[in-house]
Amino acid sequence: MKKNVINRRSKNLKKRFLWVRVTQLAFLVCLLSMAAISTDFGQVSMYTHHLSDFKLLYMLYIVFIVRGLGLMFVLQKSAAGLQKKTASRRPVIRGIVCELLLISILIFLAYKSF
Amino acid sequence: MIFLSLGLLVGFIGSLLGIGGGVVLVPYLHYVAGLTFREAIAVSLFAIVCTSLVASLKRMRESEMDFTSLPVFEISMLLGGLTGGYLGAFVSDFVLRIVFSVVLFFTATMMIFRGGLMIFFRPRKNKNRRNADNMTTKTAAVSVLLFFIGTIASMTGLGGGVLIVPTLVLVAGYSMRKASATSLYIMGVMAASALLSQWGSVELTMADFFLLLGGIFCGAPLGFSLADKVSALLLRRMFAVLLFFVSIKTIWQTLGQAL
Repeated sequence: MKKNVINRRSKNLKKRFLWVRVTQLAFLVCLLSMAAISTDFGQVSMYTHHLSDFKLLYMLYIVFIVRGLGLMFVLQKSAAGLQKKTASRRPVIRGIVCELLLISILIFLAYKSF
Repeated sequence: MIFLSLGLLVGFIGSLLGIGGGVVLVPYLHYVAGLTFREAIAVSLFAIVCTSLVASLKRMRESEMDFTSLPVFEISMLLGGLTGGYLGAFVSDFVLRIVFSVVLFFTATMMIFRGGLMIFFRPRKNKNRRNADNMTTKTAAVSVLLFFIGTIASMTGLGGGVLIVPTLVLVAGYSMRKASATSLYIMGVMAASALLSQWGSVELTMADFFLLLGGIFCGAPLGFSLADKVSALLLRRMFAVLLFFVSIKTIWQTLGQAL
């Protein structure tokens, strides 16, 4: 009985933070691609670069947009859960609006950079 | 190899003392590795992004995060990061060094005391947490403060954790654990926006850059494993003395060059 509860809990936690895991994976891909390009795909000849010369650095925008979308998904789910309860939905809606704004700013910045 | 060992040392000290990478990284890269001040700040900002993205999951699981306020704080930090990024790239080296030294001196002072900034203020017990209006006012106040913290942090390449955590505890009424997790989560977007606004124009040798990051990621678990076995407060105080020395040296050098 206890084991079942613990298993269910850890499954819920895994589901809840799946979006953070996805973000981490995206970041790892971004980092590895940057490393691969900077080492000329294996030939260890390193150059001095401007950080902004790396278009892949702009993948950071994508990483944060993915993270933002994940958080928005979590907030949207909790907003749907609150519909039946008496608790105020105002903070959740505020959170969703702010996250949307954040994602819009990031997309605008990414567009401007490219 | 120098950069790899530097990264190992920085990751080890950072996780052992529970402080962000910036405090260790910027002085070390500038004075030991011989990077210019701006290069050191750019590397530090990238390291903050890495730490925030990699370590935040562990902290988020341990503490009950308030997801509804996170986006508001993130926007403040993003705008602060952008402002600080532009300011940092356009202000003179003199101003940058002075701001860095002052922030470093403040950080060192906070490390001397057990409770950091909290010993000067008593966190108010939040009885009516459910009052939505009260929470909105608090969130707005924290957001304004976070904007300024983000500006300073992105200018100097320091994570700002030493300022963010007390702000969240004292103004928003968060617990220490929750504040620490939130701080780790929101500082990533600040560092990324600063890096992508103007600090990206800094020139770096990418090999050194990646070796350093690799070292940080390998050194951090070593520090975490040792953290429970040694007296953290004593180590923090010893390290604070070193930071005092670095900040005074930076001010001395900067004023010496200016005069």
